[in-house]
Amino acid sequence: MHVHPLEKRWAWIAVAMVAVMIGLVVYTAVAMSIHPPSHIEAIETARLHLTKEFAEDNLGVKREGDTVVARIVMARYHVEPPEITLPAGTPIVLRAASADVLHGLHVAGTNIGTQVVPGYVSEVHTTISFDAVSRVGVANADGSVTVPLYCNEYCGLGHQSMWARVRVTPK
Amino acid sequence: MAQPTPEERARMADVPRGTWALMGIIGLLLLAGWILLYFGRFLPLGPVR
Repeated sequence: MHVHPLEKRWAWIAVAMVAVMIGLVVYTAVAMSIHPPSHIEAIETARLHLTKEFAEDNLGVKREGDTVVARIVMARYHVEPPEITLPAGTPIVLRAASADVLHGLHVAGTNIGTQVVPGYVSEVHTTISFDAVSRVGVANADGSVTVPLYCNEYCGLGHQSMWARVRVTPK
Repeated sequence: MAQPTPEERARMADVPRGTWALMGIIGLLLLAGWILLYFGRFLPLGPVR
């Protein structure tokens, strides 16, 4: 099979670029622990409201030791609670569960992004940078910044309206 | 389809010299853009585990 020399050159350039990119991603994964969150924890979706953790009165933000834990439930087409307050510069754990179908979750100004799969609890650990959220969020009178937390996995006809507010307070 | 003759192969191999430079520049620009976005935008937002 004859391949035109120009095609071969483009192919090698593309292969080299992909190799460099994969190398950099592998390096940051190994040396800096930058990798997609991985957490497997099952939960019964239909009985979410009856669990101790995801019952409505337990949702929201709580400080547990040195960590701030936020618990949310996503359901068509709202996020409960509709607003949470998180501190910047502090290790936070965000735990999300779905009450019905597959949802996705992204917090603007951060790298928090995960699927929220029915039957499982999604958990992400991170630290929010106040400078990063300040660039994309709305500044409030009390010095905090509000950014959206939105569903980024199509879940039905009201998907575009499914979002919540995250108020980030400076450290 | 018939295989190209040696003369045709020679003619096809004789590509413009500037092509390597052009392809290299474009490749480097794409790679630089990727690196800038990865290290300049993505990583500064903090690791998520």
